[in-house]
Amino acid sequence: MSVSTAAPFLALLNERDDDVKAYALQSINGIVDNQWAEVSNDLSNIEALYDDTSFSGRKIAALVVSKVYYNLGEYESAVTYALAAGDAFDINEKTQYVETIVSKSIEMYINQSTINYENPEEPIAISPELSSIFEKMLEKCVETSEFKLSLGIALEAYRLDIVETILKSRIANDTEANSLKLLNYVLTAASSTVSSSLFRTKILESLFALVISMKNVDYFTASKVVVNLNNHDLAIQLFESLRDGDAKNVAYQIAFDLVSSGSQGLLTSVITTLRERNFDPALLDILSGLPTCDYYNTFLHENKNIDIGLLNKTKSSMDGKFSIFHTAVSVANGFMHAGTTDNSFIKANLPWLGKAQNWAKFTATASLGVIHKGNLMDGQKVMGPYLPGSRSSSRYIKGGSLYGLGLLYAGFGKDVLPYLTRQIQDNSKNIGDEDVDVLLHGACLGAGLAAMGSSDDSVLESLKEVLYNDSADCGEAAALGMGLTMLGSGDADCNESMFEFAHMTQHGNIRRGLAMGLALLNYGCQENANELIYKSLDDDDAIIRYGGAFTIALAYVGTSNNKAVQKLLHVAVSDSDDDVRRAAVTALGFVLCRDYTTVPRIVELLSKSHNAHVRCGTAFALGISCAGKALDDALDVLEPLIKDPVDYVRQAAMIAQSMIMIQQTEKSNKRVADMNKNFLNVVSSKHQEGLAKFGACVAQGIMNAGGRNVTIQLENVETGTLDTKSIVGLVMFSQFWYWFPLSHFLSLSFTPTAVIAVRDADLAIPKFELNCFTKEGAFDYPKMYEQQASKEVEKVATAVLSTTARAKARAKKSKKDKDEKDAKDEKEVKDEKTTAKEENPKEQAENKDTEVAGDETTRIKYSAKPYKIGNLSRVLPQQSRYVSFVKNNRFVPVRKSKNTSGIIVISDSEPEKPIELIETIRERNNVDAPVPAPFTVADELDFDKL
Amino acid sequence: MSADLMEIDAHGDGSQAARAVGKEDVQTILSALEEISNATKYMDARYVWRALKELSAIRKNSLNQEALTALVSSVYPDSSIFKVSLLKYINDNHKSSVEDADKLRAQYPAAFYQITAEKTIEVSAEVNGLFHLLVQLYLLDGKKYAELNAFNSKVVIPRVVAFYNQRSLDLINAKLWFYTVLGHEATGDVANTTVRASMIQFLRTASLKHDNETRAMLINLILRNMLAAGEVDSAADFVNKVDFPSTDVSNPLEARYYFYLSKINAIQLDYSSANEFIIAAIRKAPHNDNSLGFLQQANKLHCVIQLLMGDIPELSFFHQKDMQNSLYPYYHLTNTVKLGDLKKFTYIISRFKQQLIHDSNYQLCVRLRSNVIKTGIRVISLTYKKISLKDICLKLRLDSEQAAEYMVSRSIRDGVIEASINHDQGYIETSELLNVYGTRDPQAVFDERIQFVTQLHDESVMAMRYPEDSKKGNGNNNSNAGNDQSSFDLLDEFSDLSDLEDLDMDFM
Repeated sequence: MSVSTAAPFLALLNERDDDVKAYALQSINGIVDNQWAEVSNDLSNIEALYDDTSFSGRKIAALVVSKVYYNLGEYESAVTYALAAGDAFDINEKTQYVETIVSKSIEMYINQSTINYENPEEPIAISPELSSIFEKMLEKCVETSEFKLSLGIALEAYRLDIVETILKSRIANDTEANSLKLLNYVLTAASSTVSSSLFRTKILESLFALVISMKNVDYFTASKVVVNLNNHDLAIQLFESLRDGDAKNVAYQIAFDLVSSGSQGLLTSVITTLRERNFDPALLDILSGLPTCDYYNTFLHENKNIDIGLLNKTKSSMDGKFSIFHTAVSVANGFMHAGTTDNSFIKANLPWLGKAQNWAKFTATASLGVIHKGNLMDGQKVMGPYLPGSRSSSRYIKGGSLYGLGLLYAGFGKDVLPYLTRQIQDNSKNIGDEDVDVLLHGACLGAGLAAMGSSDDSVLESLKEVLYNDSADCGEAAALGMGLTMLGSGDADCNESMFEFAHMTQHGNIRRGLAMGLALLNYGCQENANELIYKSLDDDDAIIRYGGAFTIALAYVGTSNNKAVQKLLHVAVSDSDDDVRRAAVTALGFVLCRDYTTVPRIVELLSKSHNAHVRCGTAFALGISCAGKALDDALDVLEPLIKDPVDYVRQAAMIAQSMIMIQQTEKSNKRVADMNKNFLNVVSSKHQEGLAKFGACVAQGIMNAGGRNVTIQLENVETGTLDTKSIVGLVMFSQFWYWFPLSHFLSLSFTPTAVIAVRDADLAIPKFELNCFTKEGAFDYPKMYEQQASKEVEKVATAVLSTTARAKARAKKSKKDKDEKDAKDEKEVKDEKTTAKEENPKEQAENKDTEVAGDETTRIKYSAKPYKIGNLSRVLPQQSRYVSFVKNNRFVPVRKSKNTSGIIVISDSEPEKPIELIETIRERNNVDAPVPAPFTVADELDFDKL
Repeated sequence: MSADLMEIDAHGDGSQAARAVGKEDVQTILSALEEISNATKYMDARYVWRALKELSAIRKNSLNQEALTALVSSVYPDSSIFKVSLLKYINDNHKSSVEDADKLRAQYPAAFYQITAEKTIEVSAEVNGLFHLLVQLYLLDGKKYAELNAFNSKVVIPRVVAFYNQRSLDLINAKLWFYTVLGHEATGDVANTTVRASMIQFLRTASLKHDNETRAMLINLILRNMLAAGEVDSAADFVNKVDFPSTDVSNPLEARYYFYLSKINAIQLDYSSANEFIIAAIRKAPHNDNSLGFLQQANKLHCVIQLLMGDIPELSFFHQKDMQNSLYPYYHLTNTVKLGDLKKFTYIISRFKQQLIHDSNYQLCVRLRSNVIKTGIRVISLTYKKISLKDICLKLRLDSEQAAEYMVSRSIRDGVIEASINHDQGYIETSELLNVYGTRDPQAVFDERIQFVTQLHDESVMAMRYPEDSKKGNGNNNSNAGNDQSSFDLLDEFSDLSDLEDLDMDFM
């Protein structure tokens, strides 16, 4: 109907007779889509008609008003009136108007319920029509089998009841695999997109109940829920149900997962309960963390590939006289040997070690703890010679050894905790004495590390005592120790007392320690930490604000929370204090660590800031968020910072580079060679500032960390949870800015990259082989540093002048089609070759090898023909996709997963058949002789005849 | 009959040449298609813009039946739902003989195609849209208006414009609508209400999809339709209720929108805003040969509005390049207003009546009568310190003294003259002239100009586009560098003029 004006009908509205008005409205409804501009002039009239309760056509009036508002683009009013129209508004009509109204009303419903959920005290009343539309649409969704969609929308609207109903009906009606997929979908959605932690807990709890109630329980999904919740009762429930069923191996695998991602507090309480209920001792053993550490130690020891030449070269170029250089080398040494239990470098360089002065000595001693990290059986024995009460006289050695002990037992410290606490308690009376202060500094840090996340009261009390004595040295450590002990608890009392004391103390050190301690305390607390965050960021004291930035970092770690990012960006550009700005930028890296690909884009502008501290923070943020990811964009942003005029920016940039590129090989990434060369240049150059050299040296340590067998990963691949220890390690490491000894904390972030298959029967590591479906050698270690190579490099540098022209011509002829950059590389290699030819044919062959390797910097591809790798061997994160168990082999993994790395429990199909086992370090060092195999004594043994 | 024979005769040698020419045309169109398919490839709608820029060249040189037939038969797969309808309107479904169509298709870039929900291969939305646009142009240029209208109502609107939902199509959709309406107007059907209804409907869809270009185009077309139907009130209503998109709209569209706004406001007696709008329209419009028609129309309107406001345009206004002829009647009109000569004014109006009606400015010009009188009064008041109403009546050849008194008092109220009337003795006395520089007026005007300049500066800064990080472009691959270069060219002048060109002289 194309009427050019609505005026006649609008005029009818002014009539007295209701029927006439109703007729007019009906007619207007027909033409309103075309004549809305005109109708809208009389909108108030029609609205008045709707408000008149005695009028029969008020529903149609509401519909007309809604349509006009819709055309005017005011969707909220359109929805309100459409809802008021009741039956007149037909939800099933297939028009753009209805579609828009429905989608807008769902949006409104979600908004309102979000507001309601966030402020439960004063809820807005959601109109029943709105919720009924919402529910109707979800039902429609379910009817058309769009389950994921409806689940997602229901989650967004905080409607757990709907989520549960959908899941229940699916579990009842669909195949197991499909319903599991949905469960996992909700699990991922809950842990990644749901922003309210309270609601998340509720979802996860109901998910757990659903999973457990399924006919064939998928224990691995359940364990994921447990890990995400960090809930003791559910863990017990899970293990109970596993005990009932005959699934020992599954329980083992879950226990291993729990050890790698659960907090110490959870593990301890689970062990206590399970022990009371007489569970399998082997399971308890696994949960204690001992086997995990033992396997990792064994792996790192067996596969260590330490570039000792490089370390020696660095040591010789960094003069031990300066304590900063000495510290740098001990830290690098610690990293390179982390977890390998190989202290040969220290043994070989005792005189050098002796040169260490004061706190450098402290650091050097503590580095032993890093080297032996995880060696829970012999830890105390290893550190024994340096601990207080031993022969050593220096207070720095005593303190350092206690700190080292903490590093060694980090997160698994129940064996050493009593010892460390006693040390603190014995000495806390004599605070003020310099000897005691240094010792307590080490002891407090050590105790904090050992008790990490356990919320242990006795440790906390003794640390508090030290703190309240208000001594700058040990007070700071005590504050940090408290934070570590109470990690993630969000304890209100602790929060308050620490915040209060931060204002009372005169010492900046203690204040900083407390600020960082508070940050640790609120790890993962999200909105519960908001109060503290606002309080700290508004504080007059810059150090407290500094802590506030890190509190955001840790409270919102990995959430990519928009508000947190906004707040941090605001602080990063507006705070008056450089340190706070740096901290805020660094904190971005933590908040966005799950979403790491966005970080380079976000910080790119900041990296060009005029403020050197902001630039420095950018480097840290990139290093933290992209650690181990080898993200090209991040490296692009870092590139200019490497050449920054300010020394500490260069330092941070180099460290960040090494964190991002850890475990990359020259084959997987072309930049590795240049980077390593640059580090070496900086270390050996006379013109570089001390800080830059420190950075380069530590960066070398990180690149070669753990005998080149560890990586930094912030997210647990299997369970999808954040790796708390790694994050704590990074946070504390970033404090090296103020206190070099804290650099050792990075060792907590190192995760061995190994595949360790453990037989379920005896938890031993059998020797067998796995398939790796790539070209062999694609993941080889980068070349070691060679002493004489340096001389040759110099020679080449001079020789280039004479041969450039010839080589250039040749290069042009042979490789016309290659692009410029490749040609350049080629040229250099050729140059080397020409010079080498005259000297040594053997070296030439070597160079040829490098040439071949250089050409192979191609992408890693899946190859149909696998090669074999042994059990307990190195598997890089990027490699694990290609590794798989051999089909129909004797050993079958308990859990089916695409990702083959970490500790995997396998079942043995032929347990009787003997197989060679790999001896772990624990077994090797075990003094007790193994129980001999049963034997029978021959009865008629005649001794006389012998 | 004879024509057919001729063709057969000519088949031997003529087709060879024809084919060569055809091939060239096919190539030109193909290159435009490739450009447009880049939009799919790089997810950047700017490529569509670039392809549309080539359109006017294609339209002039290579748009013919053979080329279109050949292209449609080769590009579209046989299963395509669009093929038959396109061919029907191009050559009435004559079998086209393109051998190896499949082979040819294999050579086209993959971006030409997309896979539908039913797992069949279909031409990609952008390419399809462009083809329909080409056919529209072909029919329009061939003056086959009946076919064009049928094609629009049966194919373009229901099956292309309403069919896709892709942001890269915004620019093409806007054009498709434009030519649809133009098709109707070509047959003299300027105020078609069914078309308006469907436009209003689609305007809603476009605003829901945030398709700003189409929105702007549709608003303009609806306004044009309403004005043509003489529904100024509804047009004003409509303009008040609808919000014209402010971003992502090409300048010519904005210029046209302002032109219509100015027209509506002028008719509704709001001259000062009408003046602002027409100035904006002239500023926004591209100044080159293609947009000359629009500029002429806009300047005519501008002239009338200025006169209605009591301003007299400068002489140079009428001597603008390429405007002298079209502004000729307005020049005379201005002259009479300036002189305040009522007799001459009446003469000029009747002399140029036809032209003014054609410009649809006649209604406005008639209103100028009172302005002429006012000017007369002003001239008089400047000349005489004191003059009786009767003399004014005589000088201006007004009907009565009352009328003169009325006109004078009105002029005083409007601020045209500074004077007072002595009603008893029937004379007016001019008061002392104010020194303008003693007032705040110059300050205000100066402020206004500064505001304008700073706003212009801000807008230019905001409109600037920066190239992507140059370091990356050079480092990664050099082919990108060339790409960047060409996008700079694009930025130089991205105004697309073909629609203004079409509206040219017969604008409104």
